[in-house]
Amino acid sequence: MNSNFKTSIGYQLVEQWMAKNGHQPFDFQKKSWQAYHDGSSGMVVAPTGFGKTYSIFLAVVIDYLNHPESYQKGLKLLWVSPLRSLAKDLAKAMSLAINDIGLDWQVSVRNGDTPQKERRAQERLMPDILITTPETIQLLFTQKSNSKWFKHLNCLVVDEWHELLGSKRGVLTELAVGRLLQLSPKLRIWGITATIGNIEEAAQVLLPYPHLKKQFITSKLKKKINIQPVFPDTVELLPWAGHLGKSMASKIIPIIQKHRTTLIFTNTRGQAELWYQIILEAAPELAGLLAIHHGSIDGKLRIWIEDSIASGQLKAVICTSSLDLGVDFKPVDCVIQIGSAKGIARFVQRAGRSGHSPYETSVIYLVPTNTLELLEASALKQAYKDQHLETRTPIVLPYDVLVQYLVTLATGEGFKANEVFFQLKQTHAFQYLTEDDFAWAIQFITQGGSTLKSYEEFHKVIKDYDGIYRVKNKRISMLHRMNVGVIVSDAMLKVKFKSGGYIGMIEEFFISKLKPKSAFILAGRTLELDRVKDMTVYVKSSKAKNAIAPSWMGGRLPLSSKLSAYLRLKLSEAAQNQTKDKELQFLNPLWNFLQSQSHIPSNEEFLVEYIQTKDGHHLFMYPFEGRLVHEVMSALIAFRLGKIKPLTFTMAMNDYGFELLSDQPIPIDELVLKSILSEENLMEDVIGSINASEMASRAFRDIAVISGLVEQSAFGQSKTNKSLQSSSGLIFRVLEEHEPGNLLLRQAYEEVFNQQLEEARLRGAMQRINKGTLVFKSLNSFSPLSFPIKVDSLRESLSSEQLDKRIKRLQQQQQQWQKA
Amino acid sequence: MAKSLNLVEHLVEFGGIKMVLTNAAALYIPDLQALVLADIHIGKSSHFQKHGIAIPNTVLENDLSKLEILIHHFNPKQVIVVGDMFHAENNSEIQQFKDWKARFSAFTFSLVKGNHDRYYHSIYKDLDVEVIQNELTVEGVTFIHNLDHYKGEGCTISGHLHPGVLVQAKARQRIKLPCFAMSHQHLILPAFSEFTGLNTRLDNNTFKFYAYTETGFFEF
Repeated sequence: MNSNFKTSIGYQLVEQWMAKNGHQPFDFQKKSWQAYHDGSSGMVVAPTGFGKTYSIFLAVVIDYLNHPESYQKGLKLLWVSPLRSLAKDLAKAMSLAINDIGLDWQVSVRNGDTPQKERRAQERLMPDILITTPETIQLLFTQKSNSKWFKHLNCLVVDEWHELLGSKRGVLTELAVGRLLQLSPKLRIWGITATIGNIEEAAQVLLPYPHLKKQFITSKLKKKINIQPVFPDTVELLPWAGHLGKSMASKIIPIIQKHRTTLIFTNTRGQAELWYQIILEAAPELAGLLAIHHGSIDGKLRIWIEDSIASGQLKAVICTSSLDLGVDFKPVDCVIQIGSAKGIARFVQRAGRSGHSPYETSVIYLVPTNTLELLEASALKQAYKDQHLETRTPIVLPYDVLVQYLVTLATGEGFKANEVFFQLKQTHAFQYLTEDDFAWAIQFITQGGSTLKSYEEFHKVIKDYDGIYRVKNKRISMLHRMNVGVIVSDAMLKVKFKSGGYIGMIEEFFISKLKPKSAFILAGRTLELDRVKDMTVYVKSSKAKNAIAPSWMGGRLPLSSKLSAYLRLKLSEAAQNQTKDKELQFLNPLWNFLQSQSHIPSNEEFLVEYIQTKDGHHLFMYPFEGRLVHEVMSALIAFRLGKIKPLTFTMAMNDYGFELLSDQPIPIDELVLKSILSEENLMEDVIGSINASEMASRAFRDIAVISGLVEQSAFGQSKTNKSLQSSSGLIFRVLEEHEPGNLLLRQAYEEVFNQQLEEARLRGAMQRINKGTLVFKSLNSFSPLSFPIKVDSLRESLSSEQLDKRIKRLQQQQQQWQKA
Repeated sequence: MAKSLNLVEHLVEFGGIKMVLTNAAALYIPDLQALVLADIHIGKSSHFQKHGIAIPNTVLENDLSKLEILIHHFNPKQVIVVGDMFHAENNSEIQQFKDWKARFSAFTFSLVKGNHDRYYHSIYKDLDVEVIQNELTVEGVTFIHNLDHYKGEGCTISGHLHPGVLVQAKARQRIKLPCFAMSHQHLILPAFSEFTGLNTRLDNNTFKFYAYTETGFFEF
């Protein structure tokens, strides 16, 4: 390190301050201070809990102390974080440090929660440090003469960049970087991120500017994670998804008792509700010490729960991804993951919520919901050892965000087309934007579309006499400001007691299926539906035993492609019968059964099972590629089989494989299999097998809101103008009919192919299957792999009581078969 | 973008009168020589455009050319719109409609007012549209916009609800189709305009649905 820098007044003061608090700077912190001092921008990669904040924040403080002359009055450091909840604590920590070090800087927060009065005060005089979100920066851009606030900005920090990358919020951030760099050319930009699979790409997306001096600072520190699988008492040969639930409760409670505070992660809000009931039933003494936290619970209650975790008043909290990120909870010393974590990065992140201080070990228990899930425990251990984390694919050419951004600029100070085009071309997201596409976007916001006819009444953005595009209509400015952002929420209803008192939110979709007087659970309470009125669901407390846990849409994440690869690897190990993993060894009876009855597929093999039962003819395939890919693949296989013989199929799937069920024999042998698994005409057949237009119409929902075609119906708030109501589905239909060249439509189809059909992953899977060996087995009854898929599909069509009986019957048949 | 239309007819009897349902969202009553439709929402695209929402303005053109095909086909003496002929304020689409309408003189044009039709009388006069405030009863059948507001006990033909059916197929495929909803006493028309949503929540115990596509009718 540069010795001059080390002896500089800034460095000295900051190091002294840290020493006074008993800290010594980590290597990566010192490196980032030096890099900032050298005038660099860059990226800091470090695990959570090692003081990432203090890398760049203190770098700016040091630099200011050394060179106060290069800093002006007003905004110096703009700190962007995807999480609102972190902002307050971050501001507190920064203020404390600043006061201690002896600076008179002001630190403020600005986001959706900031009161009007404070915002106005900020606009009169910006604080020295502003902590904000990607959306709020865009909102600042909609203000008249906003550029004066950023003219002397010295540093922009994008915190938790890995969370933003791969989402449209990330694109908003990229656009902000571009504009701020233009307003303040000497700006230094730093990203802070946790480890992900494509860290170099992540840096390139945030900082694609060749003229910037860039440094990449990676912490060598690694969080220690202690992964503890929780074994059930016996190995069930036919694993049944979700079935282990209750019996595992007795294993979870001692873990909770043993630790100070435990976070229990489930994958869906519905599961969180169910486990809350299960655990309270098994350990009534936890009442009052156990809480439930998820996205549909009243915000105030969530904050109270978070505060109670921080102060150590709660023994355990059942949560969903709602607590994946956020404030560090010191008392948390244990994490339990129920069911599959679905991805390696997510798993590591959740594990990291316990033992948060540096060098402390994170403890995570994995509770399988069916015995086969123990395979994932072994896969996760290996993946973490290899440090193979998922990549985050950056979004390219989101025209909806482009349109929104252009209107944002027009609402603010206005823009010149050629300048903005140049700026856009420099960003990663829009580097391939063509002049034609840009011209379309300009036409879209000025004339309403590309049809030859002029839209004389369309006056959203106007090209002024001076060639600058502006929004002149106050109402349009107002509407636009209300709709800035790219997070589109589902239609949610408030849930309130009839007697008063707010409980939480629930999806319209779920409530619309319920009849009055039926019982459901929310926020750990059993409630009876009374009536729905004005976007509010009125309920009473209920003592009903058979309450339904709401299934929130989108709750079922597919298994990540990295984790599936590890699963196949571990299955291979099991097949070779020479594993040292205790999880795999524990499953030995299951492997033996699978091998004798069917086959354990190794990494190079693709297993197909055919079973005839009195329900019909079942074809099972196991690509191990996650639910979404299986959904597409099963439709594809059904389509191709249908060309050989007209058959109708019922389809079912989980993360490991899928089933096609027909009432007639399916003409299948190895030759047919080869042809229906062919890579030829893959996408053509996929398009033939699915209703792409229907899927695109659904994808268009977000696009329509982001591009301003549909007003975002803010939660609990009715739309401002009834005569302007329309649905995105309707607009999609009208555009397909009248303006097929609309780029927003094209984007909808592209999103379907890239995100829903996961085209790349599907192709990869088909390639792998075709390169490997096909193993085709005709069985007499369900195997340990097919059984969970079967049960899952039954679950959807039968009531729970029928389901239990049905499954018992299936298992009995199985046992009889084994004896015979 | 004028669309070619393959007109498909479907005969039903309602209130003892023969009626011809068409896959162009209108019905024809031969005995009255009347073409009946609902919810054209003229001016809706312009209204959206005025508020900065880019809806193609060829929607009305399509709707009117569809109406023209129907007029040439049935050669009616009267066209009855059971409400929501206009969407909101006076805008250029009203003029477009006026120009279109000026080309015809063989039939009368009546409007049973709906919740969206809020213009002053003079505009209707200018358009040569006969306005009926609440309901119109001919041959024992009452034409009314919103069935909910009907207090009598006879047969009605109404609009307002934009009825549709949801057809669900395997592998989570869903198709929504517009339809006529008919019970013993009530017949609800689909919305005539393309730029209208579908309401699939009508009670299928009360109503029989006649859904249609470009090529035919399906009963549900």
